[in-house]
Amino acid sequence: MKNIAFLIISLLSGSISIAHHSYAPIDKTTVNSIKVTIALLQWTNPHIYLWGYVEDDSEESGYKLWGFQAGSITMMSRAGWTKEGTVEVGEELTIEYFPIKDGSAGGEILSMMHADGTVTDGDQPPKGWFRLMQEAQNDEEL
Amino acid sequence: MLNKSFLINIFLFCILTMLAACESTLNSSSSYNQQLPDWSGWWRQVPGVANNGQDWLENTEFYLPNAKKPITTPVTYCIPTRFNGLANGSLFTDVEFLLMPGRVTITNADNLLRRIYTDGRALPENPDYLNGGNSVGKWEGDTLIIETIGLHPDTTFPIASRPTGWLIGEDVRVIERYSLDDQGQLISQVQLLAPEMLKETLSYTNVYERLSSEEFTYGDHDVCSSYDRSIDPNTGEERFDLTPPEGLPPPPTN
Repeated sequence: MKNIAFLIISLLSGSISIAHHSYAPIDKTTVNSIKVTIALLQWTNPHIYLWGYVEDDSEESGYKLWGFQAGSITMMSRAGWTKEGTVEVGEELTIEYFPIKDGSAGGEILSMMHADGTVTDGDQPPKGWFRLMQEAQNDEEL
Repeated sequence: MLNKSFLINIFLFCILTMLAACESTLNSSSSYNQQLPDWSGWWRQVPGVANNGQDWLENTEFYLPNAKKPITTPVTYCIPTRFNGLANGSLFTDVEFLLMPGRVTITNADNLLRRIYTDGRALPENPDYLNGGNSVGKWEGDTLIIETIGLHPDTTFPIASRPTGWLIGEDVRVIERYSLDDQGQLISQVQLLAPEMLKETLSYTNVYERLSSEEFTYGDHDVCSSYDRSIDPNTGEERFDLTPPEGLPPPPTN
């Protein structure tokens, strides 16, 4: 019974973690930041993907292609994203993201900072992971 | 003469008795005379009330030790939209309640379809499995009480129609009570009995807010996309697919 009571309390507590799946490949405990030149926004379900070039001296072109994941069209539309207005091809962004565990060139978008300083948020799950990180950090400091 | 009058009286008595019986039956067992409340429009669950599916997924304390998880096969990444008792769809999908005499239909933006008969019929004894379950309902004033059985045993929980989660199992029964509160929110109190999955009956509350026509955007759709690249079609396992799409522009030139 205690478990069920806890469950109901957790339901009512306002946690915002909407799961498409468990995001198993993502390291949910680390947030990185990277500067990206936008190549393509894939407006697809069940995930929107953002592709961009990152400066990388190990590549012949001087750039490496990275792939970032966001939520579904419905969820990102609710967050204010649009198919053509959120990013522009060639635009330089700073993306905060949760990396892929195996170190591949990509991750789940937490937020994107545009050149003019405005910020576009990512999907709800990474925001939830970030909140959990902050809470854990606060607990450690107490 | 007396006999003729007597027969006419008997005939009239029979007619009136039959009419009264019909009216009584309709009033007692169906919603045909029910003044239906206004639940028109699309409804969205209030964030933070019932959208904590990920915790439900990962916290094993609520589930029986022998509760099962889906077998990850190449086909499990695409499951029909189903009702699993937790919500009308995938927790964050907008919902529509279509009220009519004798029946309520609940749909969502993922094309879930639940038919709830409020015409006084009983639940089937041996129901076929339906994606929306087999439901009957009754009105108590402006409160709608729904009882549902006959869910597919391989329906996933807590989030329906997803390749991860728990299998809800056989003999599931869901009791829901819907009513508007003073703020115009639609409150749904739910009891979920899933004897092959849950240790105990689960009781929880969903809260829906009515959307303006501008707020509702129909997306087609989130759950069962024809190709979900975050699931490996060969293994059914989750992945982060970094295969570049076609048509990318070349890297910048410095």
